[in-house]
Amino acid sequence: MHEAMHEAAHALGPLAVHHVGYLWLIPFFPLAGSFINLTLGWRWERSGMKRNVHVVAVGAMLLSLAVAVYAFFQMRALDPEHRFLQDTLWNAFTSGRLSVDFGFALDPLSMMMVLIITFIGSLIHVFSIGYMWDDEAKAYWRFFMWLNLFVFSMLLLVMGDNFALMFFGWEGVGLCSYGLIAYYYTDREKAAAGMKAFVVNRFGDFGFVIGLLLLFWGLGGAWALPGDGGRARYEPTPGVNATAPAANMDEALAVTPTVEVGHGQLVKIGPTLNFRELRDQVVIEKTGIAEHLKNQKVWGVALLALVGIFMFVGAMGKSAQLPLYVWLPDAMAGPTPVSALIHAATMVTAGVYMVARLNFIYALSPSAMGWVALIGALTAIFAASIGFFQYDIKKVLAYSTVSQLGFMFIGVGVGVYWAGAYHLLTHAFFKACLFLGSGSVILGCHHEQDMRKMGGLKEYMPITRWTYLIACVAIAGFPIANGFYSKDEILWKAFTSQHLALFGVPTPWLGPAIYLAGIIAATGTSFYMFRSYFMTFTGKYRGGEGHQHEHGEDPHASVAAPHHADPHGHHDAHPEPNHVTGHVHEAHGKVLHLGHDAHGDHGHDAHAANDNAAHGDHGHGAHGGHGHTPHESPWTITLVLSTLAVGSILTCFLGLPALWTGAPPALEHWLEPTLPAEVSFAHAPHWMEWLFQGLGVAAGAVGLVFAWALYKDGRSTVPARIKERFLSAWTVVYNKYYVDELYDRIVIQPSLAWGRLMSWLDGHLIDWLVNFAGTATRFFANIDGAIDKYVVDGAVNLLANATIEGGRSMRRIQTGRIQTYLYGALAGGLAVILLNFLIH
Amino acid sequence: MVHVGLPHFLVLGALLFSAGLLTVATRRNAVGVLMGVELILNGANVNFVAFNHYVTGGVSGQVFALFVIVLAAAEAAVGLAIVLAIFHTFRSIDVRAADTMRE
Repeated sequence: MHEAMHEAAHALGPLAVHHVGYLWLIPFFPLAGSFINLTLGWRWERSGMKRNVHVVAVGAMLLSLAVAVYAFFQMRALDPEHRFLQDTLWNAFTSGRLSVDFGFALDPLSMMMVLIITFIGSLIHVFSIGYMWDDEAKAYWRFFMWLNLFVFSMLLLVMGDNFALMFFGWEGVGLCSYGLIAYYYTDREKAAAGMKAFVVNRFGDFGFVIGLLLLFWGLGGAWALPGDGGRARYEPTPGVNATAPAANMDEALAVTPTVEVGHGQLVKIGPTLNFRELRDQVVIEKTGIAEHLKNQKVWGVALLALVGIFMFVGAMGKSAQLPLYVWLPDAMAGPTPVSALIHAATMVTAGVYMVARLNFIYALSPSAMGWVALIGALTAIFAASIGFFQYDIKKVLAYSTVSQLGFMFIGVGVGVYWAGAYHLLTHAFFKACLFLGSGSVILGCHHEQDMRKMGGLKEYMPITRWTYLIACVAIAGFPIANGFYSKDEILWKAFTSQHLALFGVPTPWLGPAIYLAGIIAATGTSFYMFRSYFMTFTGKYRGGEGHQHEHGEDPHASVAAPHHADPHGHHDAHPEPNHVTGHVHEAHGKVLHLGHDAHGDHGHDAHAANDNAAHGDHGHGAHGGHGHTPHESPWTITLVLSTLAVGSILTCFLGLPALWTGAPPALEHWLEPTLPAEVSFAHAPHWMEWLFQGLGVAAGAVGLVFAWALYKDGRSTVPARIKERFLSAWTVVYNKYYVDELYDRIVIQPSLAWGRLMSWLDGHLIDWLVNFAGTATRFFANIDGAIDKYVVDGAVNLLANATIEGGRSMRRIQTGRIQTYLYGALAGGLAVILLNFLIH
Repeated sequence: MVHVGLPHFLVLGALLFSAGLLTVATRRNAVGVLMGVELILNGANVNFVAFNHYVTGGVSGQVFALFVIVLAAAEAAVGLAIVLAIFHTFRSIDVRAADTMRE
């Protein structure tokens, strides 16, 4: 297999760049929309022109999508080897050999990301119109401002042609995530969830920066540690000083060493932040950079393994992997469209994107890949198990997202990068559909998120129900929707993986172990997703009646399910009968709608100006007196849900396995130029692949059957009995394995103790030192002052006084009488004469 | 018969000079002071003429004396003008009155 890899590497040349001038428009429109809403949005909202806010935001998204689609068609028309659009705006900075541009680049991978972001982003913007219109925070403009800014940052992340720009976007999405999680900032708990997300991500970003700097340093050559053996093949030109000053790009280019790689093409080598330059010098074997990197060690550890693992730490934070996943479930505190866009479809996949983007680096280090795949598998099974017993519908989806991100990391970890990216794509569709479906349910149930108070909603919300069901089928892995194709490819390739290692030791057992973890997680995924479906949509509606029966047996409900995510801040977890009815109704009475006709005492149907159809459909007249019946959401919401559900089915054509069609999947073919890394997989017979596909479907079916048996009508007592039987284990899982508490013990409390210690030291030791320094200084200043006053000033005054006194005494001599002077002259003349005589 | 020689003239010149100096130093009247200056100049003139006659010969000493006389006349004119100015300013020709340059 190594020969094959080398052959492939020989065949690769530098990327051919196709310069275009419009790529900047894609991130520009959301930025402009964000800016307009920031400056004008609140005026509009106050002056009753609230519509303008979403017109601007959605318009910006659609324009951006249009440009992205245009770019896609332009790229598709190009030769596969030339699919690299570049739009360099200006030189951001130049220092030594390093030159960083403010430039955008699109290759097939980032093109896919940009299409996902703009397409799903546009849909979610449209969804948000209906969802946020009556929002109690009364900051419609702020919501859309952050949402547009998020899309801008995310586009910067995927389109930046260098690490600097990517990192800028990386931090930008973190900021927007913070701003949107803490959207209801007056609620202390939700504000804290925002801070948690931000702080946990800082840990990850720290790792990312370290990995980046290690890679940069490793490429430097001249700065490599003395005494490491293997850098015979790559030495920078002796005349080139690595830190030679360069004032502009041309000078930087002049001091950068290059290697001729055939056909007269020159490839820049040495430290760079540019993805294309990095890719060219690492992928093209003739430069010797790959060998050089492979042989470098830092304190005895392979440099590439460190680079890969530290960068993956960044991905852990952003993509919510063990152990840095804890912020994602809390991030459900944000409004549901935010959860769908940021915490399911786009931002959390940034880590997967980053690993896929750096596939050629990761492929050089089987240890790093082993870790990525292992952590992904652990996260997948761990988060899936937490999802089993959650009651908050958004919490279920949050843990499901963590679990699915684990699957993606299995994909990019075992080396089937295209499948990782494909799962990213399929997940973006079905998870956005699930989240938005849950948003529709939450809206329909008057801001109720507890699935125990739902049930039977299929009669009230048919569209939401069908779309949710399709998305469930997709995530559970049935071949009629897209989830099967990506998950199956990932697990199959994990099983046949031959590339993985841990600590530099090849581990052939790791692939099958990951497969096992993955298939269990897939079964669990199917179970909890259908559990959520059955609890929500089948059986009898439980919202109107008292719902204390479930609470009675759950001693931890108020602790473990604090309902961070309730968009209206009603803490309905507390078992108070009749509490919901009055409370919710009152709250919505206050938030009355600008320019809406009153909807009777129901008072909550008017989620958008254009929801009359939905309202009419479901005959609320019959329930009018009740005021508490679930209802279908407005058409903006159902349209988005339908689009996503259809997309969840249609996108399966991107990844039809080669086993079925005989040709590589469309997406694999599309992404091929971006993913030059060659990773070896065992060749297995076809029957085995068919078998494993069957196993994947069987796993989904097992989950479905169990969920159906236990939750189909909400009357089964088996769940309760299982819970009682294994109460201790149930409690541990229900409380998410006490990971948050563990973090509290291990990280937060020691941090606080450390902070207190530092505060004490500051108050006592540092202040004492400062005061002492002050006193000592004052003492010496006094001495110095005395010297100045008595010695220096004294001498000056003495001189002045002597002069004054001398002048005063001499004054008498000058009388102004000429005759007096004449006497003096005579006396002088006489004295001279006398002296003359005396001397002779 | 006493033979009048150079020493007699020198003694006469010295006497004239001393008398002039004494006048200049002691008189308070500005005009008197000017007269003393004339005496000093004439004492010097006697010396010029005497040395010319007894020592060097020729006429240069004599001419010098004539110059001094002319100079003395000019000096007297200027001096008297100053005295008049002093009188205008101080209403007195007492030399002690004009002591404003003391301060």
